[in-house]
Amino acid sequence: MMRHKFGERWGGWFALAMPKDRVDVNGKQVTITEPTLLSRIGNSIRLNKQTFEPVTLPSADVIAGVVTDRKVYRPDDLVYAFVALPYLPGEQVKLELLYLDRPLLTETLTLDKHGVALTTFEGLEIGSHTLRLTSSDGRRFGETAFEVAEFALAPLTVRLTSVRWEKERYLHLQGQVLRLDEPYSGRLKVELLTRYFGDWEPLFGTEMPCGDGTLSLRFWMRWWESQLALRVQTPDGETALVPIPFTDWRSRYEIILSEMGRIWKAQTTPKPEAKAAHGVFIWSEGRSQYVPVCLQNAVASEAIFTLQRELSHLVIVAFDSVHQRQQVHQWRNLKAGETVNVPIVKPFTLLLVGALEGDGWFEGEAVVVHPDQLSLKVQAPEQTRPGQTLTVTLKANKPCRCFLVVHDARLPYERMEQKMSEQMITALRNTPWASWRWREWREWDLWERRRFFLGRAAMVKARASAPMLAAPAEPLALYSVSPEEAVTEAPAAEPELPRGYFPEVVYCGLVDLDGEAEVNFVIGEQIGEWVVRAFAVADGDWMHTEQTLTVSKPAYLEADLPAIASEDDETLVRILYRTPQPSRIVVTTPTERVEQLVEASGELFVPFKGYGKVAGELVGVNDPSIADAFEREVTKAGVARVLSSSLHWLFAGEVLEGETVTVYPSPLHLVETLVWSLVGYPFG
Amino acid sequence: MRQFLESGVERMRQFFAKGSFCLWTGDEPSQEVTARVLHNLTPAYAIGFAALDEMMKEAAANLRQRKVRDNRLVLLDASFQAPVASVEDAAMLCLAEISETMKMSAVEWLIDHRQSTDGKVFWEPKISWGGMLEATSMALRGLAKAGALDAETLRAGLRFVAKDLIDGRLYSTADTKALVELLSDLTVPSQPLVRLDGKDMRVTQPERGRIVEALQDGVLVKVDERRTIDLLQPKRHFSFTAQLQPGRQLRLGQTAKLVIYSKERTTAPLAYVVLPGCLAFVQGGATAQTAHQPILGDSLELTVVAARRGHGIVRVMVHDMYDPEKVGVQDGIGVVVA
Repeated sequence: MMRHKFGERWGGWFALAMPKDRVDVNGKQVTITEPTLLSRIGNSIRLNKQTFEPVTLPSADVIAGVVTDRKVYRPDDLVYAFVALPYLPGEQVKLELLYLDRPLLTETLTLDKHGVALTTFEGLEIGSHTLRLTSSDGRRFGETAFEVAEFALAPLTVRLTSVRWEKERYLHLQGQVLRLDEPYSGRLKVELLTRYFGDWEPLFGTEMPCGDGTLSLRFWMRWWESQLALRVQTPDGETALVPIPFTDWRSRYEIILSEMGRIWKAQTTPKPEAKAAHGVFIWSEGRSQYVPVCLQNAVASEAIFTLQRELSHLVIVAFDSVHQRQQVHQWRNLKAGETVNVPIVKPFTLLLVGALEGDGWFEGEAVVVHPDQLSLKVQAPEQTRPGQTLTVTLKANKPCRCFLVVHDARLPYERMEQKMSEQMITALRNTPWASWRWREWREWDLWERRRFFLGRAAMVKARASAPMLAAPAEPLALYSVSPEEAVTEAPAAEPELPRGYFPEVVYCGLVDLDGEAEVNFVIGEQIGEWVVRAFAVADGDWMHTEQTLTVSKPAYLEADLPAIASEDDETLVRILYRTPQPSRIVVTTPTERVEQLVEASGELFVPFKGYGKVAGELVGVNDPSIADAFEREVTKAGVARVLSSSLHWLFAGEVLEGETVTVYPSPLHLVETLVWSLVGYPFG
Repeated sequence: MRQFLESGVERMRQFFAKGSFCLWTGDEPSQEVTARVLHNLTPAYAIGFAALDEMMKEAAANLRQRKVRDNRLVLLDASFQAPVASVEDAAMLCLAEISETMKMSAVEWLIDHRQSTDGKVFWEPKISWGGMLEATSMALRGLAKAGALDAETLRAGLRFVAKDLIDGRLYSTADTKALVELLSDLTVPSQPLVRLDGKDMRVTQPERGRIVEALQDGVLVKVDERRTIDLLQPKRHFSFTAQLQPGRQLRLGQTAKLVIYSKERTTAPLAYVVLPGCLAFVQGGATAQTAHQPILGDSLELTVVAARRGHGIVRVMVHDMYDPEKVGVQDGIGVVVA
């Protein structure tokens, strides 16, 4: 904001022209009959003998995101890549797939009318992959990484239900630890980790008791820089790692949107009483010194300015930096108390305000974020039995396209809405007059000094105390979800076939939603938590919602097996069970047969040598309807199943026999096949 | 297809700097890589991709300025012609518009340097990244274009080159591309007569069956079979060491570092690691047992967690992205988790 006297004829955004001035705007003469503010945005202004070059506002970063349905795949899995650019509907974008940082292939995608697209990749090889989203002229919009590996899912699930930053120095985490579908009780090793050159490095670790699956931790943090994560491990070696939301560096920005009257601020981190709009949380805090016009609200579809004094001329330039369009609004002879309205485009509009008052003039600037106009709800059963056909209902208040994924809760995944929030806060921070700060000022010194230290963890002072007895005053809730209701037992069923359908993702796709839509799928047969998450886009708005559901049955046994093994490997595999009545368990491996009578819930260990099939069966001693069974396979390590081919040039009378023989009319027909194989080849 | 090719041209820009090509984005461009890239791009020159033509002209001018002589580039510009010193040289001269005498001399060079064993013929490479498979394909193509390829040599050459395509390709892009070019340049009888699964037919489109009998000379047949290959069989063609730190005895839940040191410098070394069931790479709630990562510099460090009690062997394969001969698989590191 800047105040000028009449003698000052130009400012950052405007120039003041008086009646006797000779004025040219973009080479055209303009007659001035009364003191007038001329916008310099995109206009070259000649005022008497002085020329003012046009002021150019930079394009906002495109709000865009690319995510995959999960972060880890097996070599045979289909990889779904979802792209959202809500402000570039109908445009073409490029999605480049890199394998081990080498370009593998590029796909051109045409975004639909909502600015979304979904594509798939298959046949990927073991190793790290990156998807890079760019415009057709090479501007980089975003990227995401995923891994292809042979993997298994550990029985442990950790779910954070609340993350709070208290008094700017305590990080308070609450969550649930489940072993399959049951709350975990016992000792836990917990570690706070931070991202360091792509790896998770421990900052602090401790051992603690955990009762009934409740996790409550408080860390005293003097500073942190990168995203944090929590690693939880049972004494049996079951390990789960969960990223802690809102702990990356972007989450700590606090950006001032406007100081015209009330001071409006924005951040990506949820804040009590802040209004959520397009992925950021906006609130007002304090007032600025006298300004001639006050912005009523920084979240609005029409910005409303209230005049504090009489103005002879008011000019507001509304600049849509996403599309580089501007609209100039002006009014004459306004009285104090009057209001003026300026339409706001999505996701936000930059407003440059010029006001003539008394013997001076004023320049100010503000950013107003358009409110969300899309609401999305997902309804799914909270609990179900393995292998059931389920219906998920999606509801939205207007036509939209929805990316729906239903997956095992243990799978690591990335949130599109978090990416969009990050892009919004970056775009807001990149406005030419952006004023922003870290949430914790004192940390600047430490952060700078840290560069002179070699030790990383040594610089961090973290302390855990658990469980926390009482929350300190003024807690800041960063993240919370409603606690999961206790699983109630479903009625016992008849003896069942062995469970053998264990997909990690049971639904992934785009759903066209006009009011309400239903999606049906068969849930996997593994016991534990699942996540139903939906991300919808419509007309420049986006919305995310998710729900967990528990797959359970009264009696079960489940094995924690490695994914692959060699002949020489020998592992003690854990069999977890639960039964309402005394039951007999029989577990068969290629080399062992273990039989045991069990009650209630618990675990037993079975030696497993080499690779092969593992089968388990549980049957109630007195009630055979209490039953469960599974079949799983541990495959041989380092083995790849391939199509092996040989080419032959036959002379008359020669005979060839094979699993499949293909005869070609000419070598060129074979060339076509080879070329397509090469297209799918990762290197070269 | 055009869009596909245009995206390829666009990608080539990432590897083009200072009028030359480099192997990786951001690498220092090199003369050898530039010559190879120009050789590979020659078929795409002047067919309607202006951006590509510009890059190629600039790169070629750059090489000419450095007085490079390389027969791989004679199809692009005859001024690159060099005396024959390798199978690649001779094969490329057979394709070029040169005097009949010089062409015959190149053919003779190829015939003189042909090697044969077990009914197969092959040529030793000098500069081919794709090794003997690429060199042999190039030599056969050169002979075919010069009209000097007899059916027996073609048959014996194919027996060497195309005895084991995996998932439709040879080891690398370089050798598969050479095979594609050979097949493209073969002038052979089309629509041959065969007996397929007992039925006589003239082949007008690719036909599949189980038994084929050629009813005339020159029938091209591909035989496919599904099989498993063991990537971890010991091989000693890449020198490296692998260590588990702090040691091979771990407590349940303990983290350890697997450090792989490459003792050789190759174009693009990669490490493929397979963990036993007692160890894992933790990724969220997933416990992965495989990793495939480039070795940048001399070493690669990976964090593993002791996930289950037991014992087993950590197996590491180090190989080069381009060189099928550069593969090393050690006996493995025995590890115990208690």
